[in-house]
Amino acid sequence: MLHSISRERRSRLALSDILLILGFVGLVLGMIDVFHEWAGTLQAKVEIDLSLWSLPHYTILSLSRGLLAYAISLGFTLIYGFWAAKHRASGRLLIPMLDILQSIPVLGFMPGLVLSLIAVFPGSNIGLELAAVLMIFTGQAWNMTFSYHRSLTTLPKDQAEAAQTFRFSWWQRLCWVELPASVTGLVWNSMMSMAGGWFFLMLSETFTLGERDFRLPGLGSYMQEALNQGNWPAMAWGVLAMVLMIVLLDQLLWRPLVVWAERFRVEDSAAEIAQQSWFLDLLHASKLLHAVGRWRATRQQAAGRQSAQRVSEADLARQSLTAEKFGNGLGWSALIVLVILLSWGAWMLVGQLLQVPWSAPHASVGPTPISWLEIGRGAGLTGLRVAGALILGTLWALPVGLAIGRSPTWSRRLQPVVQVCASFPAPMLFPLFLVIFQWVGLPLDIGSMILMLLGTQWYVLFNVIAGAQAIPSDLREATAAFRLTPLQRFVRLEAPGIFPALVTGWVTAAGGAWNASIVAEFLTWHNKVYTVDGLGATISVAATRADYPGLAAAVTFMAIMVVAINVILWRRLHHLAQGRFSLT
Amino acid sequence: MAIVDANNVLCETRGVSHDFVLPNGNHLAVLRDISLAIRSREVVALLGPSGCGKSTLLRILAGLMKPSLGKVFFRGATFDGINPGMALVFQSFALYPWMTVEENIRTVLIAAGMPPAEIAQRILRAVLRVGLVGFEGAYPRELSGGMKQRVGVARAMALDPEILFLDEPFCHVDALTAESLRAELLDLWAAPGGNPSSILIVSHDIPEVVSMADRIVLMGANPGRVRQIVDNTLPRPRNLRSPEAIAMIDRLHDLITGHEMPDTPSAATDAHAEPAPIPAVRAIQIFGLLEVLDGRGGTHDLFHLADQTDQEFGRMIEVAKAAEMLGCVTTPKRQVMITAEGSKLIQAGHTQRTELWRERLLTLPLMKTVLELVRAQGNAGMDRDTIIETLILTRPQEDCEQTFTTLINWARFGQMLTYDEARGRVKLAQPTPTSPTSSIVAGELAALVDQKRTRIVPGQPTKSDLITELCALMATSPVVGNPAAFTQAVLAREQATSTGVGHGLAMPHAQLPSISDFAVTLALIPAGCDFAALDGQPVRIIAMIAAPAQNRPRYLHILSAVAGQLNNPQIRERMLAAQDPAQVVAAFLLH
Repeated sequence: MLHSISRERRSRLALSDILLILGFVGLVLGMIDVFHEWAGTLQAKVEIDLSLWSLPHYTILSLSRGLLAYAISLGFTLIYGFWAAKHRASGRLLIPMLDILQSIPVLGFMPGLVLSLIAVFPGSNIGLELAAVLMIFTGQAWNMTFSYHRSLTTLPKDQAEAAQTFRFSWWQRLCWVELPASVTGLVWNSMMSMAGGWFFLMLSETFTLGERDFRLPGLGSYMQEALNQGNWPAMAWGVLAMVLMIVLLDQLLWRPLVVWAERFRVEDSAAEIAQQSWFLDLLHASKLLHAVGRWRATRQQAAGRQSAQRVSEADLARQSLTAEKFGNGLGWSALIVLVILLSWGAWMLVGQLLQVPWSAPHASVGPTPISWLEIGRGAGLTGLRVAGALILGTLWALPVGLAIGRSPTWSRRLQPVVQVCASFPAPMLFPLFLVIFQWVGLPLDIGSMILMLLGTQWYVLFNVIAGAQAIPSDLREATAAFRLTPLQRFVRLEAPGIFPALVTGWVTAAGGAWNASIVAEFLTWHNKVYTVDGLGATISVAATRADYPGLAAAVTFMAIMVVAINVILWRRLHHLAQGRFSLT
Repeated sequence: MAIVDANNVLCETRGVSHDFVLPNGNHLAVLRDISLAIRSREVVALLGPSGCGKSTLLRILAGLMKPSLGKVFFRGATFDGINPGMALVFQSFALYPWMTVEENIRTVLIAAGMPPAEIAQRILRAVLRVGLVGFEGAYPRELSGGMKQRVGVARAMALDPEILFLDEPFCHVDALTAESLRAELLDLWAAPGGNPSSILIVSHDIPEVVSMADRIVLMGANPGRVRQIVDNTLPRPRNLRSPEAIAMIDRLHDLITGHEMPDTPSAATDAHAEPAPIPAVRAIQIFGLLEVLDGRGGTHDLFHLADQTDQEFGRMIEVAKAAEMLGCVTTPKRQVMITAEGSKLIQAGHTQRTELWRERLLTLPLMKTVLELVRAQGNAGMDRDTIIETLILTRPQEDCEQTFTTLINWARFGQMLTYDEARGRVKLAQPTPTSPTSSIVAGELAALVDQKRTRIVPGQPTKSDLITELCALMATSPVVGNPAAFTQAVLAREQATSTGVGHGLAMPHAQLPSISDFAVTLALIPAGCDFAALDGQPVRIIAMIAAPAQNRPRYLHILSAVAGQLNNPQIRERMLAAQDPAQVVAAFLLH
């Protein structure tokens, strides 16, 4: 594809090629670094060096984990989404399951992943590394899968019919129709997913399971160590490295992808402002890549000349029938396996849950085990904090988002900034806020609400901006023609106009806030643990103490809460938004 | 059938019937007992009003859908999945936007399992034959509708199909391009020896069918069936202006009206026969028809009416039928003739018009039944689903959700019923005040708002619907005569509600703009405003032309000024050319 685009001026060719070669060399060196880490023997707790010089090394390791997790998320998405969309019976189980998976905080996956993977790769670093990668994965995958599944099931009718009449095989249909149609949604969701993955970076690289402390070298553990020591300069460097990494990823990976994805936009949808990427331009300008492209094209032609005879109509029909039968069989067998696994999992879970006492007995030795009473109380408190965080977030994001969305210039200028802010893992800043709270005298019970807000306010802001941009200009003109005051304009036009977008933002933000509670209600700073009553704290405590029944109970409770609130509250609001306040 | 050589038949259906399952679980018959054979070397057209199932029949023949009953054959054998000898050209083109023209064609050839050498050759040939040379590397979004459909044709032709299926292929193509595409297609078909041997085209355009087809299959709706097959033996190439072609078109007109609007109600008067279905026509469209007829001495040819108002003839028949049901017109042969009642209705003032319309509605037994049902419930009103259930009992063959929507629309116009979409409740309308002072303004406005608030039906072009309906209300309203008063009323109302007083305009935002648009427009008309300053939105224009008849001449110059800015060239032409305001109004209202 690359070779067909443009012929740039000669002078830039050399420069871009040199840059590319340098980049390539850097990539290889980074990969060697990562390889060394993976190939090492198991070291449960490495020493983290807080010097500035080790920071690039740590950053590369964390980056590689994030990218690997993303690759796994993508693979998971493609398979899971395809399965759910193509096999109806499975879809009825898989989609609700995705809802549940999305609501489980990372600590719910942690013990299972870590213990099983270390057991699978004894004495090697691979198990631990893989566990960290999969923990990041659990923060990335779900919304991508939702997006892909949606694209598959809402393919325009005529395009689906054309694929059918022209007898595309399932594979051709996937490559030529379904994947291209889902690219736009996938790219945008990938960006969000990557941000979601970074959120728990610190937790994914340093975690405690009962007696055992695990720590992997990386930016997250660097940050954690800096926090433990209360080393302000190291913290500042860590934050800087994180920001640099996010900006680089955005410029070198996501921007080019967004520009590239433009071509897959379904024609009639409204074209936004043309996206641009300097990096993609650089690639297009490269002489080297052109040569590679030409070489590949000739190879393909040569391969084409040797290929086979024409297939007959009857063969085609037979093939598609066989494929259909096979696919159906595969779908059912996979479903059966899944149901068996789920039943087994549910059985194990029930076994764990039954061990949890109703109310905590006073244990004579050791910490009191976690009880249902404590979980229920904690859920109530955390629920209040989530609600508070949403309200606070809306209070500031609504006016700011409206102001940004109203002006095309400002939304263009600020969107990248907001994007970086949203990608930055808020937990890295928690200690800073902790210090501020102590200084102001704000109790952490309320403070942790603000910590939750730090991570989730961006979803509200994003959506408000998008909603404000979507308000048609004629409606704005009408309010101006009638000399409505700003307040009247807000009540009559803007508030209802952005309502659907706001609901979407709330749903995402609320889910994020519940998950964030595990770090917002349980913090370490200067080797001291700060904790408040709440479901998130309960989960963190249970994981740290390796109280597995308690952990299972708390995580299950949280998942049920989130899903129930989705069904009871958000889904209704969503219907209301679509029915009465839809602008289309 | 006996004369047809069995070997000569390419593709046929035997006893095909098809049902759709409606969301409420009821079955709706779409096609009933269709046996149709397409022979080699012929062009067959399926002609009928929309909703007669012609597209469904095409999809069944193509193998995209399985019929509920009956069988489909290609060369005497049934087939699994897609019809093996057919290639389909889509109404909406169905090109893949992420592929170039060449890739779009290449893709289907690869899917057909051809070797690369043959693929290259076929692409070249298809591109040459269909006249796409130079456009191979273009993306669909760069092409006009006509060029897109060329790609659609090239893609289908590249497969060298024995039958080419065309599903209303020129529906989204402008008239001139369509004309040349038709000729090119016929040239491809007539080229000796090659494929496609036959063409099956679905159309609602009578001249198109006459120019292309050897046999014209007239289809009727509710449920879809073959009414008659007309042989078209005009020599090719055909000239639509020749007396023979004109006679053919005329004959088709007569046949269609004979089938769809029989003068001597045959079995319909039979007490046991199913009652005629209520056409899905909005009240405003009936008024539009009456307006046009009134402006032209009361009688007009149905097909000319359709042409002049840019309507599909099937749609026009539906409107005429609805008007006839209400006793507003009669339809002798192809003519539509306004009745005394119809004239009275269209010439009446606002209050009287509503009353007369109500009177017309009450001549419908079904409307009476519904009204009685609702009245019996008192203030609580009746639930939508119960009414639909009742309709299904008496009219199992109809799409009763649609019938309900139509009846409600009519009843609202007569201020007989109100309908709250969100709660699904139908109630008797409260009579509005009748004193000719400002309270009329308020009442009008309340009615407007009530209409708007409850009219959002998912899956329908709501904004334009709202506008059309608003227009009608405005057209029948004395308020329009006094735009300043109206504007003031709107403003006052907005003020009142935004400060928490009053109740009328406390509506969801999405419904605010149209009212504002109206008010803006109406306020500007007498001020002789500069319409170039507005962005020429149809909303505003419609508002103007829907003003009462006696005012229209005054606004004509504004109309033409605004028309200059319109995007739709057809409407622009028509508006600029129009001498008779009624024509302009009809073009819009019926559109």
